[in-house]
Amino acid sequence: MAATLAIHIKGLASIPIEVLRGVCNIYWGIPSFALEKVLEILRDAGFVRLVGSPRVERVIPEIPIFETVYGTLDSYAQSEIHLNEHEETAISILRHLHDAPRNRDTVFNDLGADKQVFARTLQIGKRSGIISEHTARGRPILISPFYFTDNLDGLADLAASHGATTIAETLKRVKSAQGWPLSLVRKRKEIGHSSLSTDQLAVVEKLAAEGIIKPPTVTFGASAESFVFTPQPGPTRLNASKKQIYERAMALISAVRKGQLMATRYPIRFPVTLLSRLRDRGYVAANSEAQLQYANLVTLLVGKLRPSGTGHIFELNKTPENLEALNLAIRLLRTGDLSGAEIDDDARLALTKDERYIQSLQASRDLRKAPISIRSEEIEHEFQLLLNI
Amino acid sequence: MGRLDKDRFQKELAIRYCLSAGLLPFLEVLVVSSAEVTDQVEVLTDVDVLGVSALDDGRLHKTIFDCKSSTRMSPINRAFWTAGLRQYIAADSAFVLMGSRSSRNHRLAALDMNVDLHDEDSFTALGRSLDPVFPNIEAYQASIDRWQSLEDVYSANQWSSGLREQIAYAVPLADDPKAVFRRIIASLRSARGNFDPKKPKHLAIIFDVMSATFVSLIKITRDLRRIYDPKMDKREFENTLRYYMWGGKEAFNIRQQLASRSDASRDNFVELPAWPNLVNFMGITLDAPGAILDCAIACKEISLRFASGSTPILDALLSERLESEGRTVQFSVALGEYLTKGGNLPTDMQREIEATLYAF
Repeated sequence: MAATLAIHIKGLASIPIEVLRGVCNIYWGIPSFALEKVLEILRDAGFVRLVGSPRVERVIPEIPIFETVYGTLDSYAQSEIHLNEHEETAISILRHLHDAPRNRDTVFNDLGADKQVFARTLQIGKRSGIISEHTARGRPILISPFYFTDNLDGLADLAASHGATTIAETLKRVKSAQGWPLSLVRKRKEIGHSSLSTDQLAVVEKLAAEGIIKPPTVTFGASAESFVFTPQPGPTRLNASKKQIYERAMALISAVRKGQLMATRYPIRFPVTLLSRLRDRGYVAANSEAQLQYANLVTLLVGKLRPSGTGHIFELNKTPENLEALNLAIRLLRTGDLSGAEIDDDARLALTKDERYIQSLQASRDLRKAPISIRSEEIEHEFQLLLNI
Repeated sequence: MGRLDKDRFQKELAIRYCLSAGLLPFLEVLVVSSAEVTDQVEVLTDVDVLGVSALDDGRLHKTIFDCKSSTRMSPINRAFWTAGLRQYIAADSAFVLMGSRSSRNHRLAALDMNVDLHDEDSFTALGRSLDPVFPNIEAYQASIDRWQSLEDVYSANQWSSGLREQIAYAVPLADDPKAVFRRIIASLRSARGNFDPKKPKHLAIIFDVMSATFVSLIKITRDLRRIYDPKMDKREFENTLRYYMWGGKEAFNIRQQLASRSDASRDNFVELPAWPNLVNFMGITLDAPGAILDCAIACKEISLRFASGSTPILDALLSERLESEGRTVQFSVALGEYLTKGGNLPTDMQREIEATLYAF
């Protein structure tokens, strides 16, 4: 909770406590009684000043621009926070499950934890949704929904059949070359010009077939092609408000990969440069393959095609979402990383507003809840009569 | 400036104009020679009121207000003099307030030199175009008596003369704000044993120092913001800041070599005092370097408040101002902490600064 709050208040001016309380409740489900402790941790870590006594009245962020929030909080937690055995075990389990699902017994043996503590931690973890356990091929497999969201049963089966190491290694290859065409992976047995073993190839096929990675499929004229990406992360790492942006980013990458690796005549040599130019100039110069290559982007309202000479120019729709998707696509192509996607921009905006804004947010949420139906016997009787007519 | 100074009213008018225009006023800024060839520092002249604001690139925009209530002096001659002064201190514009009205031809000719010739009536009319209530501006800085009270505080505390010098002429006319920043810290450390956080007059001095420090930080923070690279980690930022604050790698290395040869330097390593605090402080201000001038103005208000006593209505206005400027309290508390640690002041000073700012 402290880390989530810290990454959102970094760089903001002072925040009244009622605004902070409202935002924490609405966006992150941090209740008031927990907020006090969270603020104490942030104060002790040097991230905030608390103004007001005995009740805190406002919070002044003190997080320097270069600060790596997670790193500092990690150091602080290691030196200052005394975790009990269950908490330490939970963190160790999550660390094991970061890059792939693992056999429960393997994790238990690696941790060397007490049997009862391990079992209890798993139980709490499953109840709270941070760990899930699946049986696959007779083996108990642990997965963390923090890191994987889609078809966890399929993923568990993959872990049981091929092993966690193979999955982790394969996903690392996929991350280093996001958006590689699946047909090329099959044909050349490689991703991003580094070859795959038979096992790794089988893992990629299964990840795609089972819907674990949900490769976007794009139609290019009569043919269709799927592009391989790393599995979509859980809501703690990819904020729900950023899902659509992520999907547009994948579509952008798919389009340039098509042009890079499956061009009819003139392949794209530098996809990152092309996307950077699209962002800076607002268009991609005319070429004969643009209509096929960017049709999917037009459908997603990322841009439009304009005829020019023998081809088409692809023009970007310069909305904030499309620009963010473009930046994300460039980052994914460069590093494979989704850092920063856990930040909820709406929450950050709300933190800069006043109490009336927060109250209207809360009211609109309440309105969206299912209405309580008012029943009376008489009305129900009349209704039944009506149905019987 | 004496209490019987006949230009007091015009200076007060000029100060109020600065407040209406969002400028930070400096009163009676000494102009010294650009190069010292004698043992004593020689004052060439002084600027009656200097209004300072920030340009987008971090440079200070300086406006001279030359006040001459005498009706015997020729306005155009005064305009020529002011134009020369404007060029000498690299000010951007100048106003001359005369006791008598100038002809329109003289005023036009003066404008060619970036000097605006006014008498009191035309200046007041100009001020009203900025603020309809001009000259009835309500702020602690609006009364020249309060400025006099602050002068009296410095006079009564001779140990603060080093700080006063920096504020009087180094800060508003600085070519090199980094050097001024270092000198402010050095002057603060020299005076440290004299500060008593329980004395309002001493708090007047510290808030005045904070205001002046913020002025020197205007260009520093904007420069750092422009060279800051989001991929920089703390170590890289620290190195960049270190070389920048010392005027470059070469200048820093020279000082290191001097320090290593000096017995006086305990650690034989030159670092600005409370360096980790300074790094953190700079890291916070980079989020909004444009807010630094507001901090300078607010701290000056508080300084005059401590020097002359509080007034409920002005406190209410100051409170409203701090409420609307999200960054002022945030940055001022952080700077107060740095100056307390860097200046080796009593730790209570930080608590008093915080208590003052939070109380609004």
